[in-house]
Amino acid sequence: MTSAVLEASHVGVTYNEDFRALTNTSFSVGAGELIAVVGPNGAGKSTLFKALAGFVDHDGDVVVHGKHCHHLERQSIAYIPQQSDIDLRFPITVAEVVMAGRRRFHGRRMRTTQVDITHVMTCLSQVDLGGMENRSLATLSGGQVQRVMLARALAQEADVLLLDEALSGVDAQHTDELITLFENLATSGTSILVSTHDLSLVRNRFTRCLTVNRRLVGDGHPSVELVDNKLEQLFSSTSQGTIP
Amino acid sequence: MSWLLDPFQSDFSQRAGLICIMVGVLAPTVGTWISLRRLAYMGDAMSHSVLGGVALGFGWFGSQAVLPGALMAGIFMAVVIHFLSQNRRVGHDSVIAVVGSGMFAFGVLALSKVDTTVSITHFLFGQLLTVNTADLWTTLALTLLALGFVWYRFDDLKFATFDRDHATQLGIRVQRLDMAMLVLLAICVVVCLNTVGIALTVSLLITPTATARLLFNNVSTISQGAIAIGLVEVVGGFIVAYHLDLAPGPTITLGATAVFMIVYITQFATSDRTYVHHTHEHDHH
Repeated sequence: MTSAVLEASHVGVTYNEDFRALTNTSFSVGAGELIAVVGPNGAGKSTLFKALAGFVDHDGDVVVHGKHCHHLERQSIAYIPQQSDIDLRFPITVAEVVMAGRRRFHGRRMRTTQVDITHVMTCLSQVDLGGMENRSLATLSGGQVQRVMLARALAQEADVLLLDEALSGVDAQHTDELITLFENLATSGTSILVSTHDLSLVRNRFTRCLTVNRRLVGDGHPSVELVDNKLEQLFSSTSQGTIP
Repeated sequence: MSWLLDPFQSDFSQRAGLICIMVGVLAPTVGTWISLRRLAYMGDAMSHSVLGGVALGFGWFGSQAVLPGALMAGIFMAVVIHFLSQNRRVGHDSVIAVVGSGMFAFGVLALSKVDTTVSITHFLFGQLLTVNTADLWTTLALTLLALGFVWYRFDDLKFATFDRDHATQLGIRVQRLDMAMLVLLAICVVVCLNTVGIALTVSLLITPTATARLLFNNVSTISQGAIAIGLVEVVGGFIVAYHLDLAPGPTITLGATAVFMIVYITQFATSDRTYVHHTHEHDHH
């Protein structure tokens, strides 16, 4: 592991003033790390990612490349949402979605350049969607939509990718290909956090695993964190999250 | 040709024709985003809520204050709903229902107390042929303002409607954009007031866009298609109403609904497009 790209320090999130979704979570992510985030439903995995990406107000600090970042200055972090968070019936083409990632380099009156177009095509090829740039998003399957969102993150040229259950609905062959793609991206220095419920995948393909249940429960190698007694503790410790 | 031009011989019918053209462009332009943001109910509620502003404007300053009064009421409703919706305990649609029905009730009562020679039917179903020059200029200014905004912020609207979180990360102030859309909706409702009236405004907002969505797959082409369809429906409805001696507002609305149904049935009968149900978590090629 090299120097920290992302540091979360005492990050906590409260919704509606009385629901504590995440408490006092601290960890750091080095360049090129591939990390799984595991926890039961409602454990705060998505909340953690949204706090890191700056989508929700939070306590504590998020430091990117050693700089304390306001939540609107985190475009070097790309978040791939769960499908339920986006409007899948919105009339937009695959190329338009991926091109949105390039806006980071342009601003409001974006004039698409040949470099952008080439980059978008390359990103689509990386996720095995070459030739589908003109397809409407509404005509794609769940797994294909996930890969489009991943291509958008690649087009954003982010240093950190946060993939919120991005492998849900992706078939076994493409899951394997995507994990290989993540490993290649990690080798080139991109840090990747993937939330998932697939524990065997984590055991087989990841070297670091964060276990979360409204707080950071564990941080280490899957062979250490995903043993039976720790998993039982993780999945049974469902705190209510309400501020007393 | 004379059948098409006959309705536009007099000054007042020419003014009505110009209003129709502006409404035919503006309503689908704004309506595209109202539809994509699933704010059709908001459009319906807002069109009813402006009645209070109409009554107060008419009562205090006369007929020339009807449109400004309606605009103030629409913007007031937009602001109130925007702030009340911050509380997640009350659903957005509930807030719309509470505020919209309350303001409509106020409008009905206020209009009954205002000394006016104009009946409530005028406002409910429009009265194209009473449009005056001041209405024309007000409508033109509001139309240009709304069109300019949508043109300038088109990409922002697209990204913020599709994926709010990512739009936020791109630096788009999505809450300000939400507010701006509600103000645009208020402007559109006011512009539609003379054409189809309070009761049928939502048809001009939503129906051309709904028809265009059946025909096109991209937000840009949907918007352009909706404008073309809306223009034909509004101007065509006005001409048909003239020749058949019908009220223009309901004629335009009925025509738009008929066009939607024809396109829908044609699509249903001929379509071979297969849409994937995203609730089925499977991949296919």
